[in-house]
Amino acid sequence: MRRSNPEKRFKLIVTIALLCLSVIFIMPLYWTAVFSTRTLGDVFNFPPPLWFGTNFDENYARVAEVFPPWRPVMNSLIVAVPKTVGLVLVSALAGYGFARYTRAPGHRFLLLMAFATLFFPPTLALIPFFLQMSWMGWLNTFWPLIIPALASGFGVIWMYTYIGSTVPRELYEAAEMDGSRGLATFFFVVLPIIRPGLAALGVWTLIQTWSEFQLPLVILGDGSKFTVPLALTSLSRNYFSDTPAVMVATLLGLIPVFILFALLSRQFVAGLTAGAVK
Amino acid sequence: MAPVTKRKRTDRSFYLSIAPFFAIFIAFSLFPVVFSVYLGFNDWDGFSPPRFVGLDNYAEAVGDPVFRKAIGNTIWLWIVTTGSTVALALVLAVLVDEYVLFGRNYFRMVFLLPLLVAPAIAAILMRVFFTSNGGLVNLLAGSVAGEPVYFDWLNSQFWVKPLVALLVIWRWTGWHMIIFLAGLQSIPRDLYEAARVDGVGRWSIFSRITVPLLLPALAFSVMTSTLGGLQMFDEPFVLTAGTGGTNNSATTLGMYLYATAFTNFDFGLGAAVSWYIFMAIVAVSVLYRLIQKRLDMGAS
Amino acid sequence: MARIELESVTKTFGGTQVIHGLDLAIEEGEFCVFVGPSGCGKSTLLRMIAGLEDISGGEIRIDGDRVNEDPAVERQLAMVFQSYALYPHMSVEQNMSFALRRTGTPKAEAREKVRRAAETLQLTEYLDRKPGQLSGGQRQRVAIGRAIVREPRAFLFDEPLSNLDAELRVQMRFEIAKLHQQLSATMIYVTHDQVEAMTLADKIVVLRKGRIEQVGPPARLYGDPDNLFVAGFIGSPQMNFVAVTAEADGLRLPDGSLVASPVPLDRLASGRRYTLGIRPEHLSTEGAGERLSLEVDVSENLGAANIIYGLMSGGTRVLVEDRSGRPISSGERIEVRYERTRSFLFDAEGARIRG
Ligand SMILES: Nc1ncnc2c1ncn2[C@@H]1O[C@H](COP(=O)(O)OP(=O)(O)OP(=O)(O)O)[C@@H](O)[C@H]1O
Ligand SMILES: [Mg+2]
Repeated sequence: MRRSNPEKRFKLIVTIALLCLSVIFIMPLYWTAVFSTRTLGDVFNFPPPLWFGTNFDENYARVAEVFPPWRPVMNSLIVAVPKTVGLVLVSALAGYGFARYTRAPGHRFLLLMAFATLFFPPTLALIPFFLQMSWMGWLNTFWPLIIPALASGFGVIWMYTYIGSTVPRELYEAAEMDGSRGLATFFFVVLPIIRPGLAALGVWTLIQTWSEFQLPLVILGDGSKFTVPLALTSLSRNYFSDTPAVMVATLLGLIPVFILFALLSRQFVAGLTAGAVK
Repeated sequence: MAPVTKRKRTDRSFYLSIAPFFAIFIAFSLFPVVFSVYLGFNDWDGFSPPRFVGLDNYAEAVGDPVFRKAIGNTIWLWIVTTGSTVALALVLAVLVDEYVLFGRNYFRMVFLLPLLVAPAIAAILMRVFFTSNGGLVNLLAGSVAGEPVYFDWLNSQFWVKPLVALLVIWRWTGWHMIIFLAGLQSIPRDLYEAARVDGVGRWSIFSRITVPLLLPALAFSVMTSTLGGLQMFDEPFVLTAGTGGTNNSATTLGMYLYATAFTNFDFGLGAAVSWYIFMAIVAVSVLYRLIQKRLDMGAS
Repeated sequence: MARIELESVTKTFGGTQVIHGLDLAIEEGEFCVFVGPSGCGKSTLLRMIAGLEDISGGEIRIDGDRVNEDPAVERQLAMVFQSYALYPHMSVEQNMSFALRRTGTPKAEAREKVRRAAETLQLTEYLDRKPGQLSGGQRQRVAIGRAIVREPRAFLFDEPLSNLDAELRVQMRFEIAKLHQQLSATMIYVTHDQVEAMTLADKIVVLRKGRIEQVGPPARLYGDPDNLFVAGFIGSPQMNFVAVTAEADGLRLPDGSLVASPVPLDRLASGRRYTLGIRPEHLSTEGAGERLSLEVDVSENLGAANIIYGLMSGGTRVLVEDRSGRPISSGERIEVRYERTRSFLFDAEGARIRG
């Protein structure tokens, strides 16, 4: 046997080690999928099943008896979609204002304020926000999860940086010469140019919203309004021993974000790194 | 109509464009925060009229052993999760950037997948895999030991915090890795090549070139992880089914706050706790700013 | 087409005044060029005319009407930017018709106008492309087309050619000149390239630190500058300046020799110091006239001319564009001559002394 180049061998070892680690990382997800297709008996066997079974339909039926399995997904969508669209628009509009009208009085101060909101821990507002929502009669509705979330300091600062670096000043002036007012320029010129940025912020917001737990837990009392994490938590608490059924429900709750990620992973990664650059 | 200068027109456009953000922010974030200052000085259950108690709530929290335990747990989780997530992500990023033979795009993406799983859902999965009776981990342990194992991981005072940490590490490593990969991309290649030509070893390259140049990204990572760590709630809450674990061994400040406000309806005490959390965050932020300033000065 | 007037126009940026009470009239159909060193306020002035910048004081009139408060679009001017400022997400056609659509022109009419402009600028085959798929010159033509389509009262250009390479710049310069002939439109053109200014302008406005130094047709600025600054700014290579002292029988050079004055000596105060200006192209190693003696520092033969970097004893540098064809080598001592009437004399404040 010929001795291989040590550099190459080191790289091979690293690659294989990383491959193993990545398998460990996705194993829980893989098992979630596998368990959802197995019988209760299979799941408690050793060695654990490594391949898909045929029991999915039956497991699904057991979940469906307890609650309509698509309802939490619908609830999560009802919260996440308007919130994402609104947050992206509100952020892009404010980011555009900050990026374009740098000479307006108060610009520096207001930008600083927007920046300061990044350091507002959500925890701080949780209790008074709950009380506020109860006075407004918004408890147990989706509004508290959508409307207040539209004002995202992160989104604004992110959009401000993004627009500042992608839309040159002269473009605003060209549009102004062409008879386009502030808001028209935003819709006809700025928005189309920053589409990748909108997508990045959008994916990030959607995934965050899909994960949100504490706020819905405080706001939503009625099980029929539960979003995915809440519904799954209560399901797993009540039917914990029925692992395959819990796994079916979990799988259904995960599918939408995974589809989204598969479609827009590049924007998602771009969004992550752009946020870190500021 | 009186003539309007261009300046006035553009100023109006500016305020209009930022108005939606600030209006919503003031109504739903600033107002509650200001209100929570008031709450912190009052004893209130939400029904009977609030009673001004000065700093009693702040004193009461400090006097409560559970609160003190929650501080310890939170600090433990914050340091362990931040340290191990950042360290693991850094090593992974360098390896993926530099030493991987194939599948670089696969590695960039695969570690991100756990982030798509909500913390609550991740905790459910962990409960399933770590449950005492027939959980996957005990089955594995049993096959090694040769007899069935019924170890109760989730109710173990020792293991529950490491399990929470493991959850956080599993979810967040990929995110930090992407941040570091972006940082690594901005390090000029010729620096490495020059070092290699000079015969500098791998470890020296890592510790003398990569890490110092990656410091801004590292600082950002640590800061983000800190903000999350100090407010941690979802993972320990779901993992311990809301109980905080045996003898509150996994109760965090976030959970303590939740329990005081939404289980015991002591809103004043909850508000006081939230201000303690806020102060911790401010303290860490200031520290972060100071370090950043030092770094900037070192760079120039 | 429009006549544009500026009357004691000023501009202040947060306390610093950058335009100091400017008066200027640009006639209908005129090609007017603003030149001046970087930071002198050319762009600011143009942007004030365009409506992109508020006017701090004074008045700007278009065809006699005050426009100070009018929004840019109502002034009906079109602007071509240095960076082209094309909308990257729109096709060439959409770029050119954007202004028309914003101001409510019917679709068919807009389409027809774009088609005609594209023909003029030879852009017809690129109408469906995005700006990113065009070369620099093509992009610049689209930017010009976008302006033409609007049939503006005047065209404003802010250094439109400075992002192009040298060859394209010359070509686009011709196209702009041709366009001006075809449309006979009022055009205001900002540049710091004095060759562009000389070749394009009907009227040049030389600016310095927010003030007008001189206004006039190119030939006059070249042949009859009002002051030292204009004399030095217009013409390439730059005019030579020699410090001289007026004496009873002529001008005393730093090396001690004497030359005749371009103006009658009774206009000068004897013993006072002046600046003598001679253009390099008016100096020659042959012919008659006043004499300078130089030591050759470097000589560059460009074929048609020999550029000689000479040194007068006393240290004054003198550049000579010699067309005699005579070989010159460094270190050589030579004599160059010029005609007295082609030299200029300036007083200590830099003002021209005329004969
Ligand atoms: N927005 C602004 N705020 C403050 N000062 C400004 C602003 N815009 C321009 N200035 C100042 O006004 C002066 C004139 O600037 P202007 O851009 O008109 O110069 P210019 O002649 O076009 O120069 P260049 O040839 O470099 O383009 C400069 O001193 C500049 O610093
Ligand atoms: Mg300029």
